[in-house]
Amino acid sequence: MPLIEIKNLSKTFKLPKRDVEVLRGINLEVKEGEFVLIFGPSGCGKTTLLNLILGLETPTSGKIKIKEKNIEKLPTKDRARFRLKNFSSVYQNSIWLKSLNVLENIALPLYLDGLSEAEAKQKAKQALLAVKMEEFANSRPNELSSGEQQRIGVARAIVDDAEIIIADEPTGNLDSKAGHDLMRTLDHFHQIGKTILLVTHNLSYLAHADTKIAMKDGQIIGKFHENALPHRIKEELEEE
Amino acid sequence: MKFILLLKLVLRNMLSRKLRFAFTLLASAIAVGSIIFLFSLGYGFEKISTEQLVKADALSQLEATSSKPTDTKLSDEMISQIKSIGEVDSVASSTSLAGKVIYSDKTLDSPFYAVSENYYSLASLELSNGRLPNKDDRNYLIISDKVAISLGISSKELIGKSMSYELIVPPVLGGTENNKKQFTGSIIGTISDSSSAFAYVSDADAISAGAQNRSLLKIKAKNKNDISVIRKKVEDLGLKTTYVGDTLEQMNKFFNYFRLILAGFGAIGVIIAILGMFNTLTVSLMERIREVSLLKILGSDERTIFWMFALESLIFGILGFISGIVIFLIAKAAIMGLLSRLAERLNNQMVNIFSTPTTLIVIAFIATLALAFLTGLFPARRALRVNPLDVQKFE
Repeated sequence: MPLIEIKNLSKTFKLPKRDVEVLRGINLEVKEGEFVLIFGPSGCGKTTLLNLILGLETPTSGKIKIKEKNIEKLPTKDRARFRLKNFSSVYQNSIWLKSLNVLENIALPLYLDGLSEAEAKQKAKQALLAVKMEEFANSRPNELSSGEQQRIGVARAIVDDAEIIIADEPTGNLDSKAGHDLMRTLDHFHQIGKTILLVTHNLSYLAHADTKIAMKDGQIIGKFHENALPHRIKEELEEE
Repeated sequence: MKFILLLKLVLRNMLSRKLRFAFTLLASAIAVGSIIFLFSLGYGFEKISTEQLVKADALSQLEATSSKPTDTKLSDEMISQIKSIGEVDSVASSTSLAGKVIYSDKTLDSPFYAVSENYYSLASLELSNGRLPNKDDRNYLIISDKVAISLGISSKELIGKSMSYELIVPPVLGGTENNKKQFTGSIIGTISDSSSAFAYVSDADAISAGAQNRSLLKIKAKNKNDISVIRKKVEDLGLKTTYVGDTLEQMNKFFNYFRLILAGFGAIGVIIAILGMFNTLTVSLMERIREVSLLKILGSDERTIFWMFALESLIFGILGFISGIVIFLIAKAAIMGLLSRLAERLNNQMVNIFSTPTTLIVIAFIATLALAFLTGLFPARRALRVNPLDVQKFE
């Protein structure tokens, strides 16, 4: 039974003068513990797909089943709760609550889940330890480098032990070394059983994922497991 | 999110912009402080006036005078008639006479009030020295401080001393032209009044000097609800009545308008404070759109996001109220200090011009919280409408 099951998913944004079809007939299955890498040119709909999976957007048509639950049918309040319980996300630019320090920012999902401050901080310390950033516990996130902030972003993503980690261009602002460090961190969480959905432009990370999904013009144009980009997909991506 | 954590988060956020926080708080505090100050001042003036007016059981008393002294006289017969009214408890009389006091080789012209023994209790007269007369006292005097000052001697020293006095009874009170009589009596008390010279003597002296009528009657009702009945009956006897309740009613009307004017001034401060708080909360929301988006992406419930802003406005309200009380107390202490010095310099009794009833504080607290909450409602509801995906557009 797939953890995430997407059938005939379409999304059209209605703009004042025209409609923009961002996703068309997406079908995708993600198994529990799978590392899926989604890539494609800018504007191909990768981020919209992640937002639909997170329940931040509602599809125009099609179904998204996560853990046997049709999330598009859930009311906003229940979708938020479902997101809190099952997902963690890392973005290109991490957002922080400026008045909180690193440890408290990591503990934030646990605070939202109703845990006590002491309990949440204890778990946040363990997450910081997992990303080897424990010495920054009392710093303000904005005082850290982009690479350090992304690792803390990962710590926040794993703190509540959510099953699915959604990573949208997490290495986009990082130099090559920091990017590879972050990918190794994601590998670690993949190895301990987390399901990871990673959106990236960087094809050098293909080897980290079990399944690679290529997208173009709102559609999935290929799915493969090899570590090298198949010739057919490369050609299709390069086509105008 | 647990309430205590939410509260901590809100406080941390507020304190992260210390200057803005301080100015917003100051605006709220000044608004609250000025409202309480103005209302306390209004209540204080009202209290002073009312207390002066309504001493002891003044509300159960009427004063009666002759409407036409030539036709209707306050004679013994008239007093008996009034006493016979069923609702009347007692009647005291006062006769205003001209005269002079003679002490050693000094003479001073002074008005005299020849009063019945029960007059003192009905008038709630308070002495600065000595005592009130009892049944056995004959030819006594109670003088004002001004008499002692004019005679060049202190009020205290005069107690127990003998003094001569002359009473002149005018024809309207039953005397004849140049109808005067001299007495010698003992000074038994003094009244704290250094601005006007007067003396109280026994009504027996006035009668002895030839007075047949009184100038004023104080009529005490058995029950103050019967005042209007007694008033009607007394006026039917041809007398003119005055009742302190009439003045009190007029004063209450005046103070209602006075409070309304003060509230108007206070409202200006409140509007400025509300606008300041509204601006702070709106700017705070604008600055924290990304943070609100993060909370939504993480899966925060709407309650947490709503209370993040609503709580901020309530905290401004609570702290503004407390600071406002402090500002009011400081202003009150400063003004009372000045008044105290002034009273000392003028040798007058200190008067508290502020009165702050508990209900005023409770109403001010509830109103502050309600206004603060309403002010925070708009940014809080706007925060709920933030689309977390808008943040990605800025990335």
